[in-house]
Amino acid sequence: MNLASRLSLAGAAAPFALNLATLSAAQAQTDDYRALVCVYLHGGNDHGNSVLATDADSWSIYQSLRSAGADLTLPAPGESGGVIPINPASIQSGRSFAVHPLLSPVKTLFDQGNAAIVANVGPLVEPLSRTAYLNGSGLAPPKLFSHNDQTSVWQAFAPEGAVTGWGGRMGDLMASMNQSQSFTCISPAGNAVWISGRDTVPYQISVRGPTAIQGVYGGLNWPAPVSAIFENIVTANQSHNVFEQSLSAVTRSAIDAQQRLQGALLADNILPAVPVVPLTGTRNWLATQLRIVARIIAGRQALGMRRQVFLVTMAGFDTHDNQISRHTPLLQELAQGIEYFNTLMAHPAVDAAQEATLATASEFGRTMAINGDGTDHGWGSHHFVVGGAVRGGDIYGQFPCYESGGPDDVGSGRLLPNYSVDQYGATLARWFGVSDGMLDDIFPNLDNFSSLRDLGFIRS
Amino acid sequence: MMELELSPGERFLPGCRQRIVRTIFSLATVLTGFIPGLVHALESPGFTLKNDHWEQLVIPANSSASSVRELFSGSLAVSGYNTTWTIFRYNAQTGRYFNPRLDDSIPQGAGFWMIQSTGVPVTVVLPAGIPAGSTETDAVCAVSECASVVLRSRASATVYNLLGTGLAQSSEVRGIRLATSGDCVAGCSLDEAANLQLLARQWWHYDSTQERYRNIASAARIEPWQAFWVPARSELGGADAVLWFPVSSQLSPALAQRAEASRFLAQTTFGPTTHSIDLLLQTGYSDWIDAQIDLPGSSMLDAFDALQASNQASAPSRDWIFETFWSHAVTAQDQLRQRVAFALSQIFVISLREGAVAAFPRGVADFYTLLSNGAFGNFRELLESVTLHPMMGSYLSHLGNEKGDITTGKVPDENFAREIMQLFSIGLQQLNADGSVVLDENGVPVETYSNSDVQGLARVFTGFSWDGPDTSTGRFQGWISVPDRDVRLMQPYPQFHSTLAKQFLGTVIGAQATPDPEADLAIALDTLFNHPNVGPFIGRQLIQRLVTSNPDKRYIENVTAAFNDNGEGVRGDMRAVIRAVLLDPQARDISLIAGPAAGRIREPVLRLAHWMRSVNVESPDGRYIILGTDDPATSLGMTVLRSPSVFNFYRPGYVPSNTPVAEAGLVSPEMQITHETSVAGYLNSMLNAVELGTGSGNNLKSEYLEAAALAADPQTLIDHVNVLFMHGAMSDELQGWLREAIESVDLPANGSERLPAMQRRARLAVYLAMSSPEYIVLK
Repeated sequence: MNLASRLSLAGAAAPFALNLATLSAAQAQTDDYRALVCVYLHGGNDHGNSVLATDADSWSIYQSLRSAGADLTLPAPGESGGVIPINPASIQSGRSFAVHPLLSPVKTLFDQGNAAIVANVGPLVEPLSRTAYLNGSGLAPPKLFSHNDQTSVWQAFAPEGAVTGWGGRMGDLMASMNQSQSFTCISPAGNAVWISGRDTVPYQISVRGPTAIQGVYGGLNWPAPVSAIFENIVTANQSHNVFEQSLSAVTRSAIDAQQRLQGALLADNILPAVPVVPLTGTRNWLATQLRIVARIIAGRQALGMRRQVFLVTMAGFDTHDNQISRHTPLLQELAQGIEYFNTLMAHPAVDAAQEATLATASEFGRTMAINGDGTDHGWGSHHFVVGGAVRGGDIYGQFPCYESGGPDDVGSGRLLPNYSVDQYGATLARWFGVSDGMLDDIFPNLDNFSSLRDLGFIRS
Repeated sequence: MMELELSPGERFLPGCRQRIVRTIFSLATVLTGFIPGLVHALESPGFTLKNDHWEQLVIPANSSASSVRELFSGSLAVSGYNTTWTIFRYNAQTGRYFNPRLDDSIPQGAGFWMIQSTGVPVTVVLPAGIPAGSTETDAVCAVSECASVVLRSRASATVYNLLGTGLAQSSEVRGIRLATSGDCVAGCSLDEAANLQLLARQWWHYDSTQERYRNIASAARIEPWQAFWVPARSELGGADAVLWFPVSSQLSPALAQRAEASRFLAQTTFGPTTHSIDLLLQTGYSDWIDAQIDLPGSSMLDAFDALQASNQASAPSRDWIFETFWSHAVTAQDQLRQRVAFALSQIFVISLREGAVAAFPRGVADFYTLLSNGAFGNFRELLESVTLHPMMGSYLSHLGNEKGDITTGKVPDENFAREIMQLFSIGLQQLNADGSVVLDENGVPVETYSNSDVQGLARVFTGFSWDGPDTSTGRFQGWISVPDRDVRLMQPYPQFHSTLAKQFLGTVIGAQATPDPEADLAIALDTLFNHPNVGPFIGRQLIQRLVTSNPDKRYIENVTAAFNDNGEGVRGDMRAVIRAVLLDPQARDISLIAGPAAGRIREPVLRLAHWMRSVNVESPDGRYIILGTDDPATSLGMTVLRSPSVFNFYRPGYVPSNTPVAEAGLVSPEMQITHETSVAGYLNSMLNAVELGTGSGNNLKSEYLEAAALAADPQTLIDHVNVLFMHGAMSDELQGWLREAIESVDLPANGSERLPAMQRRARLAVYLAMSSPEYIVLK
């Protein structure tokens, strides 16, 4: 339901309650539930120090690229603080792999078969050769290397100004399975296009839960009639002005959602506490967001939810300088957050270990070349997919060769993506329950990659 | 004149009309072909005609004197009339539609159907010179002024009248009166008229968004541009009757003038006060701007140092930045400069969220001072000082940026080179002077630069770092430092500056035997400064920060012209730019505020500052200690100089998905931080501020004496709030709600309880007004 029609239903709580009551109990009790949680890494994560190829040739290229001037290299496997070897199920001939030492919790999940790595994913319009990109004859995504635009391209397949993203479009297609459709797409981070659908309006929630508006509940010792007047004022919908209409619709949604969620959310004191990131000494913000996500997932039966899409974010990945000292705590926070997520999903009060999948996204990877003590905006990057439904313990997609001027390098170690975001997203969407025929409706370039519409990293 | 016969049953089915006119369209298409490329501005207020949607309209002006051609030729190609757009009027007596000729006029209050199929939404802006809809005073008219519209009837059958108010203001439905020669000779309300079987209770307006009819007789107001069907029953007996539409309750001319001044001050200051309105009315807008420009600037650095002097024991604190910002926002005389500085801080973004910046709070205070000093300077100098400020250097990592090394593969940091182009000067796409995007032959936007331009420009921004008495490596790296290096512009370090050829934006600097960072920097900044994009790119953003989210093309073009030449041949004179932004007709013409696209959402920081100024908040100790206001759940969701990234709190082109703003093809930057949590956080934190106070210990509060003194008469209090907060645009509906809330507080005739009750009324009126979407959108 879009905001305008939501607006026109202002005060329509009664019909909604009727719907809830008339839906069959059997449907409400179904175990068929899936939640996709996107962890968006703002700034462009340095894939180069996240997942590494450690065979002698790859390691030597890595060392030479990442020690130009300053040393951005991680210690070799086996060395003190060295990268941690992983053993993917699929052999990539002559190559061996490792992850950043602080990603060890992810390595554990990888070994348990609950985490997969998808190598070298990025926006593509159609299969693109290095030559065709470099000589300009191939079709490349618009506005490469620009933060805000590539964020939008990753999330919505168009530069800034796009209004629907693939998380939201998945919500559009599946929302009819949910009794509380307005809780189909939820973000404890801010507004983002990824989670906005054609009809589905994301609900934004504070990490502490829905925020009650005091004025609706008597203000500060107001005379009796004022609360009702206040609610009329903040949700007034007779205006001719589109900004006023848009604002009052958000406020209407805030009031309604708070009233409906407060009883359905899992109580705050049941789940384990949010951990502190050791390197920074601060509470893990990613985990803080994932905690409210888990509390909502735990309330899925009360709300009659069968499909939900969540967006959480981390910031700070734009490591142009002081990369080692900036990036290391971020990866620690990410890994700790992922581990915490896994714990929460397995918690008996949530019990969604098989039903929830977490997947990372980021506007781009970074250059392998270094600029002093940091790296610049890249293109393709490696991503993590975590959850009970994941076919874990493997790296999906050919791991790139970082060699300068090599087959995957389009300049300064920027990676020409091997898999498109369409393929990555479509694989997740298929698991989520989107039919094959509808995938093309969500992923506009998928048809150009028809040879591989499912990357296989998750069970459908 | 073409007439089409429709049976009454088809009257409510726009689909039928659509088929008929589609026939015309397709015939015309066969004969003439569609005229491609009619791209119209979406930005301007007026009425936005969606592509291929029927609209039921009335001209909100006295259009009797103007023909279809004159009314619409500014918005739609005249040659496209009856091919890409058309109009149908309705003859109530014959029950027939007809298609007016281009030179026919449309009488005031006459409704019509209109559609356009140019392929894009088209905003109809009435040409200057069309007079406002005329009003009359009559005993029947319940308020002082009404518009009268004749209603046709027939003794034998119900007659459908297609009409509207013809007013640029809204009209309150409950004030509408029907005057007949019979029972309603003294005027009947709609309820009375319906009870007498004279009129149907339902008046249908076709809502093109929902694609269905809505009964607007049950709405609070009838808006400008809305036409509707009024079914006149046979009981009217065939005589003409008159509908009287009241002009919404208006301020007295004196208060209206104050309200208009208040609106100007909402655009140019951190909020109007009774006193600042008095001063502005004495001075006049243009002279007021001159006087503001001439005032000495309030310096955040000086204020920061004063706080340091009085807190000798304390390390320099970030809190002093926020305190100074609020202190200046509320109390500084140079309001325009401070307001523009705040706008510039949202274009030339640095953020205390970044540790390398937060480590130097005094440097950040100096950066903000640089922006306020540059507010009325030349853009070229502003761009240079922003570039060389060590806080910008720390934020975008060009401080200490070293040249590349071909042997190792090390390359210069590209961060600043990219963002100075994308965000601080020219943007990503080639722009016309009116802000529209230049398209290539395939209709694709032409990008301003490629990654190789970034790499070329990145070489320029090498070899700059902390200032100091020498250019040693240790100083470059920051190991050796002078104490005030954070407030001194960066200096060049030739040994770290690239000597390779530098190519960007068509400029080529050849390879150098001797590195020359200063000369390279001058060439680079000149290249950016002289790029034709700067005027529209920066101009549009200043308009968005101060006046409106969706300036029309002509507005941007005027600001671009001022940027390009201040009238004395000088490019980049910010004084000329600011004047053009503030004095443009789109900024000043209050008849435009009724448009659906008018205005902008006031950013939350401005709302709190507005409250503090307009209710005369005073600090008991002279300090304004409001610290971080980041948390959207409990506070404002934004803090000055604490943006999440260099992309500011919101983007100039933000389109909020699934909202009427998006449906209208408009942008609303501030909607990027508007969501369920932040609307609750604003309403709750504002409630606390109004009722209890804000800032450290809630010690920033108001006694509301000015408003409370007026609170015995609810309407006087409402007018006062309307002038200061809503600039005269408070709807009748909101006024009604405020009146009800005010009257819910009983007022003792005298005694010690009377003043507290009056203050309570004042607080309620202020808070409820500031809670309303009508307030939050500055129109």
